[in-house]
Amino acid sequence: MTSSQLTSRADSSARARKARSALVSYGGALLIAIVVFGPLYWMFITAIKPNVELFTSPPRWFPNDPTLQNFVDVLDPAFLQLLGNSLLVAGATTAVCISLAVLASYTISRPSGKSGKSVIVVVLVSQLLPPAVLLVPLYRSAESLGLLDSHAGLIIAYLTFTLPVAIWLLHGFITSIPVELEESARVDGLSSFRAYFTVIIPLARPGIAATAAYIFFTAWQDFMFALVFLTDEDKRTLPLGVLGYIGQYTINWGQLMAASILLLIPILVIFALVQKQFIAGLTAGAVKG
Amino acid sequence: MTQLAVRDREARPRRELDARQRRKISPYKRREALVRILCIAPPLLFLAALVAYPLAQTLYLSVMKSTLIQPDEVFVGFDNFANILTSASFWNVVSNSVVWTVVVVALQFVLGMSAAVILNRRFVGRGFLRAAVVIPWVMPGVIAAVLWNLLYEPYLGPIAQLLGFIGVPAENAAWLSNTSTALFAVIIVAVWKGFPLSAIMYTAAYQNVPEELREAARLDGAGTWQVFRNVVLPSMAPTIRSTIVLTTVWTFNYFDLVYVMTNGGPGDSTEIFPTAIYRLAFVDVNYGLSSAYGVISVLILGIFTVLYLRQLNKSGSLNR
Repeated sequence: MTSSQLTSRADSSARARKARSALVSYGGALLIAIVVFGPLYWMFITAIKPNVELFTSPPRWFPNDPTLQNFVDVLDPAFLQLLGNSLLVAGATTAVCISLAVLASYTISRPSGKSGKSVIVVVLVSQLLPPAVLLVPLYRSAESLGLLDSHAGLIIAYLTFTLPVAIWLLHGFITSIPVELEESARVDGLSSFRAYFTVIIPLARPGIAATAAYIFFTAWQDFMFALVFLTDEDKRTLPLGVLGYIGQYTINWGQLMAASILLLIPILVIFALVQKQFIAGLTAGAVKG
Repeated sequence: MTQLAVRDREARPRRELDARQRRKISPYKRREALVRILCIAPPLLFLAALVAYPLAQTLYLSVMKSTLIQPDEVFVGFDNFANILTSASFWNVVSNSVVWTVVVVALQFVLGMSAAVILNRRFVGRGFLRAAVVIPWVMPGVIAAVLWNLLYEPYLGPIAQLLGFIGVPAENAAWLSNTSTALFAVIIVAVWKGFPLSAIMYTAAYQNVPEELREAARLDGAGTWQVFRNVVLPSMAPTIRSTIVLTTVWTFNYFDLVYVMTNGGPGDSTEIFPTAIYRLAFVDVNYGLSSAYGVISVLILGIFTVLYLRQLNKSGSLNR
């Protein structure tokens, strides 16, 4: 056997291994893509099916006559009202929650964060409490304070599960900023509080953005509290409103899916914007603890 | 690590100095301490009012009896708990919750880990797929629920149609309306919606496993599976543990999917703790029983919380 034959055989077995490896990679990637996008594809084609095609059985995988009519039908004043309510509630929750969490992080994380440990434990424990358990007492408190059927009541209720998460995430982002930066600002004569807001907070901006995105998303998609707190049609938020397309006997799947897509879009846009920081924050917290 | 130790050593004498100064006069220090307290007070007060007080009220309500017909609360001791522990519907909720949580978390682990392994291999479009895999997780629960209701629809949905090709009649594909299959049908949706988070966590942890470690094991003659089992998995252990605890708590607390897809039915075949608490309080208007269910579910989750905190302590992230 000559040496060239040997190398060529080694070459071909290496090539075979490479081909097998590529097959695994692309086969696996295709599977993931099908799992993730398959249901989304169905959502999309249902939303663009004309009425006649919605109720053909067996269902069509490619609409014969795609239309945007469902979106036009969905986008009526009532839907815009729902959208406005959701934006208001989720936006206000995010603003209040982030302000409180930024303040809290000053005490917890700076400069050495010694006193912070017990606070973090409290925060974590409350993060892990079942929201359903808080539902009854919060409902009764809101009832006695006249906060039922009001957006303010809902926003306050959302702080129960957003505030702990926000403090926890921000604490992680802020402790990762070197203390030396703040110390040098203090040498320049700034008080600890001023140094925190002029030096640390600007540096933590990506982390704050990611935290805000998560809080917005949590409030945006909440269903349980909205279901219990809101009975007034004009006050309802989108997740509740979407269920309105489910009639007692029939379901208008086209409009339901069109409305769902409209509800999903803001979330996807926000996540596309802060995705890097968000995943970094999420995994950093989990990898370290 | 060494940097931290050095900083600590330097800090100690300085702190003693601070203490000495404070004993004399330090209005500046006192003002700073006041600012610190003012900053932490509002969030803590909020949490006290919104978490601690409701929790105390749940405890209080769980030993009271009040119904729609007789709304005045009467102290009944542990009657609510005694009633619950001897009722079949409670044990049905317990068994559903256990099956639901264990199966969802286990499948999320397996799927998330498999996806992470794939997402760490080289292929065209990997960056896009890594970003897109998050979509089910960020999708509002209500939307995932109605979408899967459509996918499961026996006459209009694609799943029944695909099963029809292999000879399953549409009547048998109505999983959501069959007491023996409804729970598993919802479990599949919860796995679909939740596995992306595990995939992201494990993808990040996988990247942190040093390549040299894997290389060394390979040179020692370990096969692909052995490298994964004996090198990669152990180095990912902290992430795996905290991800599993987190997904366990979230799954146990899940409300939207079950409420929208089956509303606990058919019968009570998909009733889990959160839906039971909701139904008892807001449909039956029996706050006492509902709160007793709540107290028990807090106890169950308390075990997981303790595990979680111990895990955090072990990995040292509380002492950063």
